[in-house]
Amino acid sequence: MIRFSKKHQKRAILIIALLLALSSAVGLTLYALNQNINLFFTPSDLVHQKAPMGQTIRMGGLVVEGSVKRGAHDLSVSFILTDTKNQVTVDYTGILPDLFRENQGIVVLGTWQNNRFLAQEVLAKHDENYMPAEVIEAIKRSDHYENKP
Amino acid sequence: MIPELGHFALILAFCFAVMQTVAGGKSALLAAQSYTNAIDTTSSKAAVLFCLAQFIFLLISFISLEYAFITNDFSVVYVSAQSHSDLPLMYRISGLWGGHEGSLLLWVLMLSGWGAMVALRRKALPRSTHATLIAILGLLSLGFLAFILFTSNPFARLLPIIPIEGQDLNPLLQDPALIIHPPLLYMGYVGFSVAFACAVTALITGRFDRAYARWMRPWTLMAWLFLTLGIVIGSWWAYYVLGWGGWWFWDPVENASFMPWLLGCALIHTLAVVEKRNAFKRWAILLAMTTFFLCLLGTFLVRSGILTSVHAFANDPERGLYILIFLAVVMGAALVLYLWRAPQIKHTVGFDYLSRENFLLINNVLLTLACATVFLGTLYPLFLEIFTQNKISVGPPYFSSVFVPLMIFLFIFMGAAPQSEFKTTPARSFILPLSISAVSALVLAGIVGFFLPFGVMITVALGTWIIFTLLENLLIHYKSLTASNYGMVIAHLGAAVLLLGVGLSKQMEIETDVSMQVGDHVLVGPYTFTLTGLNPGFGPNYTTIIGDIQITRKDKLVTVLHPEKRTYTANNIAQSQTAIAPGLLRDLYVALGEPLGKNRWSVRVYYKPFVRWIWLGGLLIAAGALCAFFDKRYRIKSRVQYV
Amino acid sequence: MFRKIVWLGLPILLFFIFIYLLAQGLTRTPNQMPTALLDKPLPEFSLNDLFDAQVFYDKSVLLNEVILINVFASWCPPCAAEHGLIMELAKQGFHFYGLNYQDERLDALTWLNVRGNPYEKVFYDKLGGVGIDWGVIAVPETFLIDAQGIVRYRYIGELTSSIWNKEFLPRIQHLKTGVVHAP
Repeated sequence: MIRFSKKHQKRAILIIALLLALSSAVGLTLYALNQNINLFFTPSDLVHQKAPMGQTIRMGGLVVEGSVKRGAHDLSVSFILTDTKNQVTVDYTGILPDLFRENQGIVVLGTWQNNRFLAQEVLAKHDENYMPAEVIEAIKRSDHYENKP
Repeated sequence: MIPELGHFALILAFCFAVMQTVAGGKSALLAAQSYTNAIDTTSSKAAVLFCLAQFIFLLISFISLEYAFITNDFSVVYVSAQSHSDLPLMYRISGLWGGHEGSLLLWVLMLSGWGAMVALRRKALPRSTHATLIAILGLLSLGFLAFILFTSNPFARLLPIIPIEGQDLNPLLQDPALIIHPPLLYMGYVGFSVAFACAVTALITGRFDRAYARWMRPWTLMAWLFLTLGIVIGSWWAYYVLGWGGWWFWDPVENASFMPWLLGCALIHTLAVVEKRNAFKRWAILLAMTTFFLCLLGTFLVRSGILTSVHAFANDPERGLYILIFLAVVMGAALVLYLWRAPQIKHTVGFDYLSRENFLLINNVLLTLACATVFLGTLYPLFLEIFTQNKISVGPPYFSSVFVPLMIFLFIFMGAAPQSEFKTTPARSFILPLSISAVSALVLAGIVGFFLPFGVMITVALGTWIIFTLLENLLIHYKSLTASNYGMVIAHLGAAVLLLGVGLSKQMEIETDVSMQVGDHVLVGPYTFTLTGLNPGFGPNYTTIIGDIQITRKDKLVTVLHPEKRTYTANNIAQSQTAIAPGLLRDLYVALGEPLGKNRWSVRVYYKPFVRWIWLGGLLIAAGALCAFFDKRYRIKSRVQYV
Repeated sequence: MFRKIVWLGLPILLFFIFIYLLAQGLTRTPNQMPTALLDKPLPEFSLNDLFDAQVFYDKSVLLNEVILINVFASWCPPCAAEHGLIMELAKQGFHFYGLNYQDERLDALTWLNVRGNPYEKVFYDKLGGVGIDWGVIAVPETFLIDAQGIVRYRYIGELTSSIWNKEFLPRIQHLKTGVVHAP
């Protein structure tokens, strides 16, 4: 049997404790990460039923001109997002960001249900001169799709 | 003429940086070859002079650019892109660091400023060590100066057509807090270059003793202090400017400054062990290197626009590539040096389970883990996209769900650690005071638990646990406390206040978004908010709509708030101005959303208890660092004698 | 010995993999993205003149030569930054057309007055509708169109002289002298 000196024993216990703490932390972290990943989709993905229903996802596109419709007494609003090929109607309740404008590229976070997108969050960029990279990506990807009536 | 002068001064500063590196390196080499402490004084003195000259010329360069901003010299491209003649003087001055080129100039100015401070504190270190330090700092300056000169010259002119008007500063940046937020953050980032240079010097010379750690501590404290202040002010700015009532968004750019803060915090604690016990030396070196690596990485992430962030102001892959190469060279070299030389730096001291060393070890493990989780959450989307082409984002719930458990552990240990002693702690002097604190904290939390939710109870238990143990620590040791100890007490108190602020405001806040017209009222918590008027107005460079919101509690008028919705004329950008009724126990927060038609507006009406404690806590942490900085033992004037 | 190599080599390897990944990240810049219009004719449009709201233009107004269409707006700082270069290039004889995008007419006119007008014609697209047809996603943007009216290249973002020399000049020379590939 191998006998450790007291010093080595102490060190071994320390290392084991550290490893245990570390591995549980890593495990928890990866689990949390897995639970909180929001995949990105484009309006064309949604129209072609490529996106999971009911799961929290992100979608980017341009706000179609004249499509912003507000509720009469509450903060509900709906608008259409396009990637220049396909359109998706977004429903949202809340205050839109200052930089939300028609024809502006924005990103929405929410769920895709019954052919409408229920947004929990609407994001526009701080800087109005640039498109969010996701929107550029959305338009880029839309080239693979045909228009769907 | 003045911009050319500035450009010329910048080139001269570059030359001095080269000379500083060469002279410092030569003097360090000579010292290494001769086995005595004798040194080529000419080159070591020259290195110091070059270092000072570099700082002075950068100052001239900086003042020239500032002059161009103040005098509205729109022939300079950078000025025309960042400023506008309607801007108040204050924002014209701060417009300098509103964009890439200017902030980089500020960055090198600060780097050389830290370098000059190190150069002037010559007496406290062995000459060869000092010369090596100066050479390394010169090398870092060199890299950044080359970056400015070759890729981002702020003095470039817009010829042949000189615009008569500038493009204006992004209105979000036109705010007093944002005048000082970036400089503070840069001071922090850049300040860690001294810790990095110290670590590399220790690897080169093979000497890392207690005196050296003592010399290194105040620099690290100062850098961390600036970083703390920068983050606190940034968070405060986000709270009242962005108009969402949030103060931290786990945005990649925020994370970029938070990661070095976490590791810097670990480093400060580790250096205490090195200084007191001559242990954890290699770990301290690794931490110092990694902290600076994260500072550079943060710069890279922000400047290259590689991460999708609401903050990413400009995408320029060329600049990103330069920083990346710089990062790879500096950090790669440091890493190789570490692997090669670190085994020479030995420490063989034992300590008990119940010792301050162990507590500080736990602190380090937890802070490093926290940093690693932020790192993972920030960079994971980028790496996944490279491998799978899938675009994802990591939501803030990830960060809160990993951070909260880590912080709970951290706070439990934070309460116990100050009561421990180095090497070994007698159980009697440890257990009794801690049990008293623990019981009082639990009792207090239990009382709170009767009225408020479970999460609030946990927060109160942790917060009071730390406060009680600190008070006990003061009572027991009040005779022998140094400035350093007081600094620790203040900073830990700050951490407790911060914890209470975050925990209580998160769990007790009420956020309502409503559609209102004049005369409407809404009930939030114990307060009634009534919209009594909406009036147009104008400012120097914007037009605005001002709301009048009356707040009453039990039919007594509390205050009238005036949130605004501004439209900046130069670029037609709308921006909300929030109105806040601040209080130590609660904030009332109102922001105008957007016109909904038929005289209706959307309005954010928030009740945020204890939210102010978050920044108060942050400021206390900074005050603690400052207090520790002024400890007398860091002010030893005479040269430490080495064998 | 082997253990030593692993211990020394692994961190360095990991570090450089990390750097390599970051470098990979840099290459996915959105500036040079293909457009749906690439190698296809520019779509029809009908827009009025920025200087005279009564005058309408369609595709036939474009020269039957290699031309460039620059999408700009007065509210966009990078547009101002690239404007000097476009002035210079126009002077050298390159044909630039302007598409004023989502702008106020008066602002755009003042903007051009102050900085000079390098464009043969400036089309006014107040609502950004044509911009959507063309797939304009960020201002500024520059389209390269050959003598047959076919889109050959598109660049998103601020035009710089290095981008011009690297991306535009070779293509223009090819279009002017070489064989034009059929779409």
